[in-house]
Amino acid sequence: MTFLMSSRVPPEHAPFEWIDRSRTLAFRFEGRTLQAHPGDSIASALWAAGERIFGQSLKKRRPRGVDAGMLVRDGALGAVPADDTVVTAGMDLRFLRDPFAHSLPGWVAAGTKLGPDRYYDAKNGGDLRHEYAVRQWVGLTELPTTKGAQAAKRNATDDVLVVGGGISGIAAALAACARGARVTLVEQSATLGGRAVASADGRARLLELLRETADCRTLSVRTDTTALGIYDDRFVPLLGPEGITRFRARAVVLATGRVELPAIFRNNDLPGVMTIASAERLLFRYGVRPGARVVVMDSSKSSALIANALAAAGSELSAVVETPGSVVEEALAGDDGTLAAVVIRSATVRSRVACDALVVSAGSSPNDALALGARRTREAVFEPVSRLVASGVWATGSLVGCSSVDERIADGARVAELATERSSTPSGARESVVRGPDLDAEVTPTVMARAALLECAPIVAHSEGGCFVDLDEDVELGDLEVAIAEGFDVSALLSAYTKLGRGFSQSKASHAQAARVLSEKSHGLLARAGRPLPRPPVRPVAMRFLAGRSLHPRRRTPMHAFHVGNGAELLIADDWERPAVYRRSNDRQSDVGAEVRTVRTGVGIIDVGTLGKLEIAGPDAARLLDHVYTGRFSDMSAGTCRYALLCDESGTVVDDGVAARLAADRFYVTTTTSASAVVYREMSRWALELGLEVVLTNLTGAIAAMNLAGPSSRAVLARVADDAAVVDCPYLAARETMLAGVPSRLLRVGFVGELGYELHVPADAGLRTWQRLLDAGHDADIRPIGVEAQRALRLEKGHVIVGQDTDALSSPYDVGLGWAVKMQKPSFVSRRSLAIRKARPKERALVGFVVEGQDGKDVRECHLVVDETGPVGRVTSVIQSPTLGKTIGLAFVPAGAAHPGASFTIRLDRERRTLARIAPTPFYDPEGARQRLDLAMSMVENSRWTVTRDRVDGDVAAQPGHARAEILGVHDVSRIGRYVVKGPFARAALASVGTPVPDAFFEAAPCGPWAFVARTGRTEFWLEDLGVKLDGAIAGAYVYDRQDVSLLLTGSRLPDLLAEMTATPVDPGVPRLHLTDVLRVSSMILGRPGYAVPAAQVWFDATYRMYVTNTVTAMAMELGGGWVSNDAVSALGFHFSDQSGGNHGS
Amino acid sequence: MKLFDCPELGERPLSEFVYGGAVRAAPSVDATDDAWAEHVFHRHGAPALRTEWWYHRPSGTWFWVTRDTASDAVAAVRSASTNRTEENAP
Repeated sequence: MTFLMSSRVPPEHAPFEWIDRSRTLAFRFEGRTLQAHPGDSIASALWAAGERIFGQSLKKRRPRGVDAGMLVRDGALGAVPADDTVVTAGMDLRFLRDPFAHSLPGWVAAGTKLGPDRYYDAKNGGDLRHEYAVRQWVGLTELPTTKGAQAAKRNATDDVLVVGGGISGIAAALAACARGARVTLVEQSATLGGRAVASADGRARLLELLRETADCRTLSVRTDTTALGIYDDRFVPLLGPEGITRFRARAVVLATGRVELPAIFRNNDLPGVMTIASAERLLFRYGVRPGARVVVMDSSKSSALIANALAAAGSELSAVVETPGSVVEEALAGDDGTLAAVVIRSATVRSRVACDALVVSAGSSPNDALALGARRTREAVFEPVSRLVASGVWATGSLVGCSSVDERIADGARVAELATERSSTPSGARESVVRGPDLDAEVTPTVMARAALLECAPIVAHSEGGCFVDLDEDVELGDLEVAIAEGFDVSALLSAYTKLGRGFSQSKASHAQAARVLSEKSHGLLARAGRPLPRPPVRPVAMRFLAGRSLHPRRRTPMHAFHVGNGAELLIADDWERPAVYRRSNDRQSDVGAEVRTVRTGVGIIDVGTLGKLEIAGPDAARLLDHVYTGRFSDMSAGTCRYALLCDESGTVVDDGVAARLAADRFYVTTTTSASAVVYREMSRWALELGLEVVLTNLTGAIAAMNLAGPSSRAVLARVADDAAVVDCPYLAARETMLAGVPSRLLRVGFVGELGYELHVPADAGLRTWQRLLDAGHDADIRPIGVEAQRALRLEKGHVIVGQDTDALSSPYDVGLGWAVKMQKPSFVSRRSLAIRKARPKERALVGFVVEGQDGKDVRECHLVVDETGPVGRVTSVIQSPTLGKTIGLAFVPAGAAHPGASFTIRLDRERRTLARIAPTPFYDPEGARQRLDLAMSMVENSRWTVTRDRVDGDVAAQPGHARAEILGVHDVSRIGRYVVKGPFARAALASVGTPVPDAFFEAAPCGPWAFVARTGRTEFWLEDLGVKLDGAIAGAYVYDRQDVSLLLTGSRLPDLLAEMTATPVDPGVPRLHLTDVLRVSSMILGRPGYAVPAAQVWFDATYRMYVTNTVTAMAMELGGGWVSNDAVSALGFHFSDQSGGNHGS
Repeated sequence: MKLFDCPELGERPLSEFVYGGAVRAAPSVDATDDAWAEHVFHRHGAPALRTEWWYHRPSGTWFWVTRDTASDAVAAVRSASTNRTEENAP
């Protein structure tokens, strides 16, 4: 092809071009190999190569070219917009598939519709299903299937964000910098400059400003970056080539300019018809001549520049049409389907002028999608954008109606001054919204009316149609007229009815033209015509950018390695991964049954570490529990525990657990797995409301817990207990004791209905204790028990699971827990409601039931209990009891029917019903003798069960420490001892050991090379690697070992890593603690200044160890770093006393 | 996303907070059952400048946020424990 690149003009005609002419790259289009320059868009590369047709429109199959919002298909990316996508080497581009006649070239059927009208046109009763099918077929909904790296979302912040790199945006950014602000300037194209490059004056001023920009150290410029929307408190997601940046600024200045409107006349969509903005871009930015013979249509006397430039670049200027005196009435297609001529009509004559490009300047509307989105209004009308858009969000430049270059520069500078003035203090940034004419008067009295839709080219209707308002959806003028005539004369309805503006390019300009049509046809005022409110994001975003990195926090107990190493099937409960059943055979049900029988006849061990574990200390601890729970705890003696039932203010059961009194001023309370955070939170609120002196600590992740249950459990426990007498403690005793050298809490409770001990040990000793118990139980054929068997065991005992056997209406009296309510207490949270509910006639009851026969196997949770009138209740729990050999369960039935021995009907499916008999609970061991007594160790056949001692721990990403810690190193410092001291006498306790007592919140006072003390709460201090050990000897100061996983992060890329990990700005140079979400997990992060490289330390609950370690390491590896060894960090000067103050394990 | 500017903590995004309802006084002990039911079940949704409980999860702190529920503008954020005197300890 000898004319290859012949459409390129010499570089002197394109002084601000985006392309790199020194290099070329090859890509394919419809099977042909074409050349482009780096920086070319797909559209400019095709246009330069002489390609005029980029594909056909989807509905009416019109050939379309540049500036028509065309999508082309790329093998790797899917459908991409030709005008906005940068072409890259090796791209293999094709037309979107032609839905009905894909063997025919597009222009054969140009102007005809694909298939019957009714497929598409709303006015003809179009059926959207056809349209969706068509879209799917042509490749519009194709998703790329190659799995790439997950796109990181980073957080960033600055004083001022300027959106739009045109001349007013640049002026605004520089003015803000001059006032001392740190500024980010974003521009969606490849370089700054905007449309100022069109004029010689603009180019000269632009060069000046760009020189200043290059010198400005507090300005960072991001090109190829789009601001997607403006959300609360000036939160602006930015879409760049690498993905989304979650940007937050104290002030936002919008300089988004204006959108050129397409002219409306017959065949205004032919390849070769383009707006003046598009022609400028082709010529000045890509160095591509729009056409050889050009007609210019001008409605605003603004086309002289482009006309001259085109002529200078060697195009023949065939005609200039000045509206409204004359208009382009119709464009005519040549044999190849592209623009060949236009028909120009003036008052007296109609003439035909041959051309291959028509450049139209038909008026413009403010590019105000971001501004309107920031206003949070419900409706949008066409009106000038005011300079103060919303609190902290400003607008400037041609967006607010400035026209000349000087005006735009001056306005940008002035608005930037106002924006920085009002954001320089934190209170300024929060200042309430001031808007309206007074402020605009204060700024500059420009001609506001210019911002509205004046000076537009007339709309030229044609009897034969083909006057397109919206190219994406092929909406014609005639469609709008019909819709308006049918009564859809409100912009939102018009849009919904015709699909105007619903297409890929979101048709910013088509709404403006539709509003003009609407106001003309309905004789309304343009300003009132309105339009659908633009909503963010303002441009389509690839799903992988929106999705970002997959962050799903997962918690694991310390025994997790054992579970996965011994065939456990995992189930997910909230964030937790728990063993459902340990598979020993191919028959899942028999595995569960074997586990149940093990507990009933021998001994089993259950990981109950997911239970919530709270400690309540202080003189008012018992008062708090008495107030929050329904039971009485103030009269408990130390060393005992009690069932604890929690009801809310309405008397509904919300949680239960066990409360153990460890000392007069210390309680240890368990909650259900899912409720630990809620119970802790609500308890702390009640403590505040009542003004109680208590110290609450959530130990859920810091303590591992296991339930040793079964007739042989006493004998097994005796082998590991340091104090042999502890195994003989009575039912409902609580002991603090040593097990295998580990400080433990022992609760004698019986959830599963056998003799049992709940053992609570520090998390880092959890796995070790668990294995010691399994070793000790080897002779007794001990086996680990999963969640399913545990649920079966408790159901055999008739124990209720809150949330499964209760619902939002369940009072304790409905579910048989009335005994746990102590109405003698003068006041507690739920007392008033419970008194009212107790006095009322009971409407329903939770009863145990038995189903005999085969039908029982088909009963499921949530099956309905029915009588002749319809549903009257439901099944809440049901199992095939391995112990009893029949189907047992719990169900809500009407209170009147709840007699022991009575029957009720369960609906199995549409046809089948089965009878259930109400049976007293517990189903098993109704006297509860087994859990209270210590039975003799039953002799069972010795087992084939063996404990896998190999530590299965493939989770933690333990790469060797060869990644360079100077770039970005992740090093585990969990082993360092750390604890907190809390309570009214915490300060005194600190002073007694001579450490600093920091006054300011969250400041870390150094106590050595690594060690520090920090104030983490009103009466709470964090001590890291301190050497001295507080032992809680001072009354009123409570000491808790921390069991967190802690990571040291080092290196020059640390700021990038931190920006991805957390939304809170963390300065590695400031030793301040930030309590914030990191990787969606509550955590704590601290800048670690004073080392050779930037460093920070982060702490997470240890149950998230696998999740956070893997995620942080993966992020670090993407940034060129990774896991590093102790040697690597000590080479950089990081030294810790390696005495593990908190470690109880090996 | 919305930010709360908390005393001591600094600005934190809304996603770190749990809403705890409006700050309300409980009815007196001799209130009627109807008054109690009103307290338990009835919430007034009328726009107002009101003080609400907000819990900052990562730090485990309750705040009182005075907020205009019509405009969503936050007038003040106070720590809910400031009225108590932990400093009464030595």
